[in-house]
Amino acid sequence: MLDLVLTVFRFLFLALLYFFIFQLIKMIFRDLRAGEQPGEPREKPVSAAFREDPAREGAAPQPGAEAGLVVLASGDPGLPPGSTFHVRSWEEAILGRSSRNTVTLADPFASLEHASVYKSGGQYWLADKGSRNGTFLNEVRINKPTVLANGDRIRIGGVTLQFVRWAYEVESGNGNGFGQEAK
Amino acid sequence: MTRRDEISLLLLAGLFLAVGAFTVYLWRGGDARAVFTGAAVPALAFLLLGIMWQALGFRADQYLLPVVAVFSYASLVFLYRLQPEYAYRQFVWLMAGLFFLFLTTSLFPRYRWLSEYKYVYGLLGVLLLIVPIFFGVEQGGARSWLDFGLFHLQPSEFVKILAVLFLASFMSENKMVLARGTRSVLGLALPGPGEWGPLMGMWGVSLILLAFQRDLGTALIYFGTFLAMVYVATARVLYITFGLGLFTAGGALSCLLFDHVKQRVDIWLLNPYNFIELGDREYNQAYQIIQSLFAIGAGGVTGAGLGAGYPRYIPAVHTDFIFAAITEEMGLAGGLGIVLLYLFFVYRGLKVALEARDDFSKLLASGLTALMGLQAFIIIAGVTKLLPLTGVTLPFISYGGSSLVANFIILGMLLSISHEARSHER
Repeated sequence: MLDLVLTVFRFLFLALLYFFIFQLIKMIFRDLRAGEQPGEPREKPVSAAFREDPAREGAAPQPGAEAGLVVLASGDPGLPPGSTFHVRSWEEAILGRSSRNTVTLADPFASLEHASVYKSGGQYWLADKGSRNGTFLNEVRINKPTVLANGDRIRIGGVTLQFVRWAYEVESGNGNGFGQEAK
Repeated sequence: MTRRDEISLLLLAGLFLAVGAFTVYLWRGGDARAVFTGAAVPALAFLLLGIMWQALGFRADQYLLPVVAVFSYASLVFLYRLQPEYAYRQFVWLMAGLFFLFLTTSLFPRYRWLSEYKYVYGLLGVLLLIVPIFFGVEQGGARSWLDFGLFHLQPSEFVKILAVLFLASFMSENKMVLARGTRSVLGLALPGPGEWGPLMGMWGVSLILLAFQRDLGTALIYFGTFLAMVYVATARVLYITFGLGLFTAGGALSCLLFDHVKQRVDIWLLNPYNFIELGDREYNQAYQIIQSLFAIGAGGVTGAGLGAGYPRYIPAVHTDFIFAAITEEMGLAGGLGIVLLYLFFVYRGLKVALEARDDFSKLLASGLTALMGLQAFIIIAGVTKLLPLTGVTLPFISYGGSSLVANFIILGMLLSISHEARSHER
């Protein structure tokens, strides 16, 4: 009799271990599912960018700002991925470590005035301003001003920015503008 | 944010403990009141902690504590089954561990100031490692214990935490330069000596010290954690390749220098049964592994059942070889269940690191997780002859106060990081 009870309890002990693991998996699964919804808006580039700077209110581009730079990756918490900077057609947007720049990069590999983006002859250009560690366009180091296309990636040190032309984005309708050719 | 999941999992774990304690009591008999107290008090203590955290609005990960509760309960049940005296002492250490867990989570909600004192950790760590060389007592071939009369303390268990703190604060400060390098050597971008110097110096010193204490399992864990953190900080495979090369060289060297390392490697590479026939007392290492393998094999799929195995033939069964005893009596299923729970622990730990908002927290969480995961892996692999055996404890399960308290402090730090990261949401 004792042996029988003992055997039952021995198996119960093992079964409970697995029941625990089963419950744990179920709860973690549910937690993962639930985590997706509140987590997602934080990742969306637009909301993050406009929370950072109230001056850039509204998703519609400002007059003259038909292009922009979106941060894709950076090691600096002050420049979270998704931050957006407008490039106005009448002025040169300077990227670098200096706080007077349009885009301030707190990156040890960036120069004070590292590179610039400007409009000339109906096109946007990227130029290196004699930086120490170079400016990379789609992972190729540039040595003369280069024309930017929608979706191009600009990398300076550890910061990667994507060049976006708003006009294309509105037309393409899929939001990211990758692979969209000029009309 | 409620902690309902945590509390219901803790209740389930409590049931697991109750069934285990009752089974062992039926089998062994003994003092009914002691068994009841030994099971009820820890179960209530864990629950109380969960309820208290709920009341205090603690937002940390809910799944780490129940997993650790199952480890602790399995530890109590098996230690009582092996030798009731060990279970009584482990019970006391478990209570101390829970106290330190609560202390860690309530004292360090703002733990970031910890990153300011990196050289303090370095010095304190080296000091704690030197002290046992002169004042230590030797146990099981490793001279790493301090005798306090009432209990023995193993400082290297706590130095692990200090080492991770040092590495996390140093690397978070120099992450960029370490990752990308400031100069080019043979076409490889490498950081200057100012960045890797302190890191390597610290590591060289601690590894040499550990070699002197002949505590090579711990040295292995340190080195693995170091590599994991370097990879988390820099994402450069080059460093890992270099580190693994260094490790292989170090392993080969210690195999030549230390007889007890060579023995273990021989036992691992060759058939351990050959060593028994030699009848040499030097080779009772092989005897340990053989008994462990016999026990695991005897368990089969569902095990002999609690109390029905013969773990008394396994040497050091309450510390390093407890996994063999568990596998004998709960079978392959039970052993895999324990391994699965360690995987969950590592998964949740890495999730804490992912959720953390700054480099220091990320590095700290991933370092502590790597520490725990590596330790469990190294001893389970050693006991099953997947790797040469190096004596370390199975986290939260093996008998041993220093290790248990240190592990609860690690758990507390992980939970603090998780709480900090989540309290900024919404």
